[in-house]
Amino acid sequence: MTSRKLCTFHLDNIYLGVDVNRVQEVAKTDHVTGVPLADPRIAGLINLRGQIVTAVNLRECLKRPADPTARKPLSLVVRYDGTIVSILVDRMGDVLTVDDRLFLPAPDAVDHDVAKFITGAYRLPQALLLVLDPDGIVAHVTAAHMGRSSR
Amino acid sequence: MAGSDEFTKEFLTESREGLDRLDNDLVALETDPHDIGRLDSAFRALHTIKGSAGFLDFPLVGEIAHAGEAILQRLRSGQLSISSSISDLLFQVLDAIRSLLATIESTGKEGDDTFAPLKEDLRCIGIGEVPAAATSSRKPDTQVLDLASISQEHKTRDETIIEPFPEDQVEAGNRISAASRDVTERSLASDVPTDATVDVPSTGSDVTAKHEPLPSVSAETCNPAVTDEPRTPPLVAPTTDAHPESRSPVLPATVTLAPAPAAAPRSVPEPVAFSDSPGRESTDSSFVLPRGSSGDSGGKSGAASLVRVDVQLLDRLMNLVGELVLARNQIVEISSYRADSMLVSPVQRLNVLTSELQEGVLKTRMQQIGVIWQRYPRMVRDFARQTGKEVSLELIGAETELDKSLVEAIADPLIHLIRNAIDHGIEKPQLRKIKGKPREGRITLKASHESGQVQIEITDNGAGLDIDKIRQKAIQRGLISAEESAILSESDLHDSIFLPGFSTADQISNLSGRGVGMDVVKTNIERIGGTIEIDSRKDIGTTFRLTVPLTLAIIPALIVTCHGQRFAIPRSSVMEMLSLHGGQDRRIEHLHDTPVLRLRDEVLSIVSLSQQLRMSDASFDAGADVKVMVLKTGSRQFALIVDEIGNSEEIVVKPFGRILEGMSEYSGATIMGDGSLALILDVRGIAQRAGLFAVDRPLLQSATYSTESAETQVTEVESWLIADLCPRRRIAVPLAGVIHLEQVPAAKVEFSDGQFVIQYRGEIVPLLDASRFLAMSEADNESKMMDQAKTLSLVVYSVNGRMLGLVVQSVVDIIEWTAATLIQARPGPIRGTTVMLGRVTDVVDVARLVQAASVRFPMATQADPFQTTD
Repeated sequence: MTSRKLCTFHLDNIYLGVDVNRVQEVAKTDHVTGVPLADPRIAGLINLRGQIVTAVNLRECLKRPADPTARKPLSLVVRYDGTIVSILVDRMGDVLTVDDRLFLPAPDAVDHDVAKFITGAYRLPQALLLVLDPDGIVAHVTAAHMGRSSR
Repeated sequence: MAGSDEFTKEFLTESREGLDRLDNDLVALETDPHDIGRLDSAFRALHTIKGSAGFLDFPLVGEIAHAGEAILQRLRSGQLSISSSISDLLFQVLDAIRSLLATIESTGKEGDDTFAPLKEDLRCIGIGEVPAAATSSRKPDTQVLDLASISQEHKTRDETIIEPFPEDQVEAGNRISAASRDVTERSLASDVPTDATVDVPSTGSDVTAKHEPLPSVSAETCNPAVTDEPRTPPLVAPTTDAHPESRSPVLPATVTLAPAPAAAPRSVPEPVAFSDSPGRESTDSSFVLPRGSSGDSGGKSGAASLVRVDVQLLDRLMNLVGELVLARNQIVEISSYRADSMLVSPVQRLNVLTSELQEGVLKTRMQQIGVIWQRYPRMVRDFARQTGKEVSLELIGAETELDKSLVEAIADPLIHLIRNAIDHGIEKPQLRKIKGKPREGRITLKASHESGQVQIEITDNGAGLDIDKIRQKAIQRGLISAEESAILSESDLHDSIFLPGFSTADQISNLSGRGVGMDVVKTNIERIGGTIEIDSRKDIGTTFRLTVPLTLAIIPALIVTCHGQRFAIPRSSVMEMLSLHGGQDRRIEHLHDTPVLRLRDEVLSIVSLSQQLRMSDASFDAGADVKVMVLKTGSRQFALIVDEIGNSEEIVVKPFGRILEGMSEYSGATIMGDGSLALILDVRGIAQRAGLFAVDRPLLQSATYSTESAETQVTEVESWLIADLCPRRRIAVPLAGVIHLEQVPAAKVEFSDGQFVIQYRGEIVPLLDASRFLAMSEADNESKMMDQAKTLSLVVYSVNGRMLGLVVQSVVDIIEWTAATLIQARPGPIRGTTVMLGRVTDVVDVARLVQAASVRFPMATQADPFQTTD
């Protein structure tokens, strides 16, 4: 077991991947309903065939500037802890089998806030593939809304 | 392994149901020991558990269930009779099995707890792990029990507790047990070895010797009790040591003692209730169960027509039907645009079928409220014992159905309310007697359908809420101020028990009074769209009335628009809707930062939805046309400004995912007919966000603006206008004298006759800069009126029929308050000083202020006919 499969995608100019076993599907997003007062890292809610799914604004999580020219983002639907969350990305890549020997733990150069969502990177010949930790993202954005229910 | 897991799961579910039934059976048996049906049902339930446990190889469960079964067997045969100690032991058996089941559920094994103390207690009454041992140790057991019962009897008579009883009574006890021994010997002679039955009462050593072949059991545990220390109640002593916390030695409880099996060992004996008074009071807790609600011995009869369904599957079905409803809505919408006759009839059919399907699925989720009530008799019994009270529980309307999720949601709040009723409501038996009430308190739970909602009442006939104590505690804990408490009505004070951090318990008891709870109860009820009301009368009792919706899944809601986004507001919280036109509609008083809406006799806070949701920063424009929703949360109302008010629709509530769950402003989202989403507003959350109920004050009622003279005699509750003069100076003036509140540009201020004046409604009104005149100690002495760029907050006040413009920094609020609680009264414009809304506030007499400031009212003049006035 020295390799793993990653579902890769692009955001801005970053090349990212998520463990393929965590991905339920990739869906088009017609409309994201904003949730006023929510954390800026929450893009809003989407209607995924009748199921209401929270969409995470990955751009905001990774502190990339908003791109006014961007087309409608794609929704990478990821399973976590018995439920699902949508991560909005620009463009999908291939499913890659990567060799664990190429793995580097989270690079220090990455902004500290961003490092919370990245477990590490694979040095691929063509590019550096960052491994996204969906649980880290969910934990952080969930925490941002906790304690808000009290006055 | 997978197959056995399946069996184990089923075993756990079935056993738990069995245990719940057993609880009720036992509680009922305590009241009526002769209910053979109950006894049989209890016996069968334990037998089933034992059998399944043996099949699945859970020996400890089997062993303990067997022991319980053995006790029940003896109760059936009349060798034992129900006493409080026996039923305690049986309840312990059930609890032990429950905890084993929990361990099995989490680990798959029985765990390491061997329940040695329980087994010890069981052995003490002669029920061992081995059936043979159980049989042979029956004899001493009978005697021990008699002693125990008799000792209890004397305790009850003497009103002394855990006191050695006098010699003659011991002798009496021995006489009875001797009699019983004789009979038991005869009746059991066949299956008991002779040597074991001889000489039991005389000396311990004898018994030890004779019992050698048996498990050391009776020799060790019982003998000291029986012979060495005959003064100690034999059964009670060891158990109390083993679980000191689990029972109170103080049992005003009375014990029903069978008059020794002597009379008729094989038939059910007539019990003799030992208590000072006859009738109901002979039991410490009795329960009236509705028919068929639980513990019915013929429970298997309907089983064939019932199917056990996984809740998750139901949830999924529910979701799918929700989707179907939405799809149906879309199709209906589309077909309405097309005049296609081919479509009309199938769409109609689809419409009807979907509605019926939805109704059907909703029904499958309906559960009788009795499901959660089942646990209550046992709970009440235990609480009553722990608190040394006598309580009976009556359950009415257990067959009332509501959605499963709601049943679960109200389970804990109900338990809390019942605990409170026992702990705080019902008085101790002695006290009740003094008050002339029956010793036994009564708690009634009543559920019923009430106009599409479910109403649940928890009534106790206890002491009622103690208003003075509540007032005192609320002030002590800083929840309300002394002034507020003086103006609050009785029912408002009742409501203050729902404030966070409130507790009137003198002592924090095991059950309640930790200062958490009632606010949580209220929050939980409101979270599911319900309400809670209190009705309490001193020494008569208290009723908590809960109103909850039938189902959470589908609710009627109003769709409103704000900044192009749609929101749903549950119709249950909408009181009315208004369309206010700017300009002539002066119902919105713009009081600096606190806009209010005057609606008939009420003054409501008014907030803008777009501002609260930070969708726009623009403060709302009082001059523009606005759409207003009057909303209520709890007993409080406020007004919410939205852009558009749309249709009323039945919406399918979908919870937010876990990520956004913490947001209190929304209660979920729904999918609209066109597939887009709308957020469902949580009215309470919005109100809290707006800081409307920071003090959780009641609504301002009847704060009518009056042009009457300010010369009002202040004796009763009055309305006051609170204003800030500068950051640390606050005053209050009687609201009765306030004519209007105005914002005027300082540029409009003119100077006449040595004072500032303003033209207002055709009159020349003198201005009095209250900040300058009263805020003497403060550095800010520069009058604002000189600064032309500023806007002045003006309180137009009536003084002896003339208008005065009182310049303040800002108007804070309007409150109701009794002037009688002024700290000190003195001559001069300041009548006294007090604390309102948590701030030191000077109560100002405007007439005196006018004198002190030597304000001169201009002579009555004709208004300038060539000038339009404001």
